[in-house]
Amino acid sequence: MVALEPMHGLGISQRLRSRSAEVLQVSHGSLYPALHKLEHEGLLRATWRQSESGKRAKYYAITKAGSKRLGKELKSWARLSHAISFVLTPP
Amino acid sequence: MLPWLTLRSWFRSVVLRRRVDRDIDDELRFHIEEEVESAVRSGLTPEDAHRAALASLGGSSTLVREACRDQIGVTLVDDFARDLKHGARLLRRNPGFSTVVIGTLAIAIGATVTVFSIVDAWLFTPLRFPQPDRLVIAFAAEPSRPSEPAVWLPYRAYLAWKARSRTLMSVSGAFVHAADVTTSTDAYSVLGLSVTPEFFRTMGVGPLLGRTLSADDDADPRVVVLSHGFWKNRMGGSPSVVGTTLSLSGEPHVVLGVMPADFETRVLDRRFEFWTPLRHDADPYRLGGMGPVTIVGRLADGIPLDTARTELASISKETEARYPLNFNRFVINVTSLQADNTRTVRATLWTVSAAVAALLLIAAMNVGALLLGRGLGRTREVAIRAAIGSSRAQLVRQLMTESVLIAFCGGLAGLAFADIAIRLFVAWNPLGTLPASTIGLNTAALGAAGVAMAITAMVSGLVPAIRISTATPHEALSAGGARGHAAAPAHRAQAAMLVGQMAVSVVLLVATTLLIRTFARLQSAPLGFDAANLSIANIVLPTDPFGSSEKRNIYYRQLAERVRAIPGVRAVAGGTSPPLSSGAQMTVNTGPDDATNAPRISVQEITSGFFETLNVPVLAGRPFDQRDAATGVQVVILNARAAHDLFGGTIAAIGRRVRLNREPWREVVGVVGNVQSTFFNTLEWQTMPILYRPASQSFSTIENPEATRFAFQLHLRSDRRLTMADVRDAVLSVNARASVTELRSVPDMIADATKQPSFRMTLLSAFAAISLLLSALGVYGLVSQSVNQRLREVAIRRALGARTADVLVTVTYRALLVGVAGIAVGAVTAFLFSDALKALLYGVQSHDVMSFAAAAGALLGVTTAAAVLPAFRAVRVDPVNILRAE
Repeated sequence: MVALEPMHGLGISQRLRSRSAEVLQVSHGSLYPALHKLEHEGLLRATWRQSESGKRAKYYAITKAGSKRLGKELKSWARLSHAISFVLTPP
Repeated sequence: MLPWLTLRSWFRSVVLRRRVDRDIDDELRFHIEEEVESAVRSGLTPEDAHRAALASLGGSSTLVREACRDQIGVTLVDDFARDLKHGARLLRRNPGFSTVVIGTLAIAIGATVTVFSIVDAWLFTPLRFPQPDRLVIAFAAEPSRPSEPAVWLPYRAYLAWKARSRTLMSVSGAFVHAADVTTSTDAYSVLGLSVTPEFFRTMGVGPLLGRTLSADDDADPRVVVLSHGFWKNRMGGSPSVVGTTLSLSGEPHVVLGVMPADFETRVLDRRFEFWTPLRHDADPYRLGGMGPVTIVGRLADGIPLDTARTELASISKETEARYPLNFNRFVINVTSLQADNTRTVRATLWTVSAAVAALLLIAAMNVGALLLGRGLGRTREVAIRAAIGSSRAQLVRQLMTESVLIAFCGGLAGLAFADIAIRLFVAWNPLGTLPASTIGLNTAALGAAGVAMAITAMVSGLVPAIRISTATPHEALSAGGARGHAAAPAHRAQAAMLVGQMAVSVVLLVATTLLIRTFARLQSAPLGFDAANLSIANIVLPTDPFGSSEKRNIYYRQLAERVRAIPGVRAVAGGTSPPLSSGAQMTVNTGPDDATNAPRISVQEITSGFFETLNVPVLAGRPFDQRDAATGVQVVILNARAAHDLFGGTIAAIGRRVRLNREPWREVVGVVGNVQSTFFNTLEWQTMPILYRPASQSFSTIENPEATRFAFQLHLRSDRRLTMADVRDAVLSVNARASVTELRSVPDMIADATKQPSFRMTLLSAFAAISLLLSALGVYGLVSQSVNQRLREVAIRRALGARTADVLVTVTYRALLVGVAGIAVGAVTAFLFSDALKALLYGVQSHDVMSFAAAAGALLGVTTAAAVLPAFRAVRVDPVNILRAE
């Protein structure tokens, strides 16, 4: 999601919930540490900006290294999910 | 992961941690406010909205903040700081304990750094010559001891090597040149080196002033190059010294040049003040090239020492085979110049290094055992921490931080201690010689300190940390509250550490006892003469006032009378060798034919009254007296060893004839007791065969027309310590041109000869004493701890009528078991390794039962005393008080 445009933590969690039709609900207690970890690893870059509501918010954007990693992870996810669905599909 | 970003992020977290925290808080506040707003919009009350927002974060923003901080490593830094604070607080809270452990480590680390600095300066700092590792030096050695020089090489070996060697790019010969210098105000002996022209090129160093020696100087060899020290201290240090003359043993030498201050050549660990050309056209170098030299060479590029050794040995073997009297019974000994320069001190340095390593290990284990002991008292604290969620890694880290802190404090104090100790060592100079490079706290020494700290931190910290954290909270807490018995592994580890500490102590104690006994043997070994109140004066005078043996004998009688008149002097006699040195070696024949393999014997020339003055017993025949005049029957006296070797017995020797080299036959008129001598770099006293000739018949320099100086040692026995002025006045009143270059007391000379064993013994004794103290400390701690833990048990048993002995056994049993185990392990280890000390022992076997018994006994005694002392506290407890306190 942050690959498309810079987003703040709350935005990410809301988008996650709506896009997955409420199936995925990431606890905020896990979301923020995960974001900080990615920032620490240089996969995300954070900046402080005005939000739509006019308050200061921390926006996360993907970095070059982040996109590269995303590509890799997506591929491996595709492989894995394909494998799983293959296993689960009745013959 | 991108390392620089990570580093930057860590940097931010450490330096800007307040900003990092604020950022996280701001972000979370934004989240909550937005959530609350949207919730209020959808109809909730602000309070409910706030609660819901918090719930979505997992209940509290603090927890989320902590989790975020964990992710970016702030926690790690924080935890370390907190552990450090905790450790420092523990140390402060228990100043007695802290002083003991930090003091222990300071002494051990300080001693390690000091010894390391000294060893480094001697053995590892390169000599100050260009490419010093290419410089080698050669002697001849006995086949039984191929690495110890036994005799000098013949001059012809130098000629052969120079002509034929491919492994040495430069070859030079050198021999010691002892000279006396007499000025209007002063007279002194000085040691120089006679060298062949290639010497300075071989060393690769040019002069500071003037020039060095060249092959042209052979035409007029009365030239000299001075050392920087000699030039500064004795010649005034003026550059105009070049071209002036310096009188060496009465012969004027033109000063050619002065060497730079850091040019210091040593041979057999002796230092030299000047260099003169080697007179290869004079005796004994002229005839058959038999004159003594050592050969200093520079290895050709890429040639290893062993290759050179093989080549030089084969060249010498071929050359020597051409001569009937040859050196082929010796082997060629080639070593690096640095190895030669450290020949006398190396054994001492290695011994002391091993001892200091043992001390460091003992100290580390001791501190480890103390930390374990205290850690056991903290089992409950650790268990509670584990129970409320501390991970094993966190516990280990926390306990380790403390020992790192202790090692660090100990290391810092140790460095300060080492700095002082090094200065003291240099000032004290207990080995009688200092390395060419300065000893000091350099980077290498700091590195050594770091390694020592790391070792102590690991030994003393890691084991206790792992052992204590092994206790499961359930066991520790259910075992009985504050009195909880700690986990068995921790107890076992503590006992193992104490056993290890004692075992190493036993090894150190055995080594020390062996060295003490060696020194005692060296001190008490009969030297064959009475050294007490004996002094030696070195007298030098020109030969020209004599001209004939009669005149010289009259001079000597007058001198003896005058010297005996000095208040306090009881006996006086002259001789050519000072005590403890064996004198010149000559071949001796007893049969009608000159055997080519005739034995060699030390020859000394002495005046009448010599044996009386030294208190050497006459075993058969008579001493020299007035019958042995210059023109009378030529006579000699043998010592018992020579009489036995040559004639099979003391009485059998009387009346027999001997012949030295090709001199006239002489009759043996007496046999005297053996006088011991030393040979360089050997520890033991040696009984050499000695032949004495009467000075009245043969101060050989008189017969040598080339000799201009005449030197002998005046042996004086006196009731008081003589001063230089006493002797000089008496000597000058007989002949104003004579000079006294040296006055030494014989007990001082003996102390000098035993300097290395004495130093080894002193230092190891100090280390052994510290190790005993540490063992005592360890056992004391163990028993105190056992008493504390069992106070309740003891009280109950006392109440039930247990006897004092039973109580003592209960609380000391474990400590004594540890002591006995440590002694047993140590004794076996010492037995296996004591052979390494063999070369340093004299008059005592490396497996000497007495030494082992003494070492074990000392440790057992100390252990028992240290165990019983705190145990009595358990005996004195009042059961009522203890049980009521429950």
